[in-house]
Amino acid sequence: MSFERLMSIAGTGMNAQLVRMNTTASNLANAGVVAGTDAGAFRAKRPVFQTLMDNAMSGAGNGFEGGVHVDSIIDDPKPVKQVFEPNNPLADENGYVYASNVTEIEELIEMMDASRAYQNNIEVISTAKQLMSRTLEVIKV
Amino acid sequence: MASLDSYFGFNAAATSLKSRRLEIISANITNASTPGYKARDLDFAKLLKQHTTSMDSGNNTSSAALRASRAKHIGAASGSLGSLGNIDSAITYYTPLNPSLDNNTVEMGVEQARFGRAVADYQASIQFLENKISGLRKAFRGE
Repeated sequence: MSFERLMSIAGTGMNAQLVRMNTTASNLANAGVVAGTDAGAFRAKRPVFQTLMDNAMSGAGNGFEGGVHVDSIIDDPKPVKQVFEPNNPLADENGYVYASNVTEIEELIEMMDASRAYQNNIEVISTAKQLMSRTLEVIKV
Repeated sequence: MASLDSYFGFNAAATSLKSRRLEIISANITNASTPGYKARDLDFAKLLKQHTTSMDSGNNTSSAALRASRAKHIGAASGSLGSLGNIDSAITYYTPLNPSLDNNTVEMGVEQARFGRAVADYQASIQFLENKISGLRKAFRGE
């Protein structure tokens, strides 16, 4: 029986979605940060998911693709906003500061998507748990 | 234990097959946001075909097997249903209804429906097993 594997597959999914929610929270928290240079401005962070091969997870290995993991976290390539604020102490010699490229609405959607995906994985685990105990009942006296 | 195996027949193999299917669908659900991931499922028809052809060529000569006098008869060899062979060779990809931009072919609604169906299938085969066991138990008690 491989319910343990089923649960660990869903568990990796929950883990990955949690990382995604964490990056979203960090993006939202840093949405108002400004910097004095273009390179120093905050850029939204995005996790890139990758499928875990089965043998990497449990050693059971027949090459079947199983769970998921966060391969890397990349910066959002959107350009950062250049704002004219000569009174800001961080402004460069032309009077510009560089705001982050975080879009709040996008982040909220990202968070909703992550939370739905997380719930789906929870549902898989709880169903697996039910089936496991149902299977045990077969041999009940 | 051979007689117990034949008593349970294909039910034991069916149960493990269905739990494998649950695993595949849960991998789909977990990878719903992985770019480029291709959703997959067990092709039961393909698996059955593989199995029946291997039985036709192999087990038909044994004494307990049904005799196949025509080429199109399906051989119902005894006991061999316990091993369903290589389940993973029957894993197939399927075409999404609405392809998405990141080449991920998992569709959550479809996947949830598939998962529910697979759970019901699994419960059905558990129920069959349970009936067999309770029959056996009745015979032991002799009431």
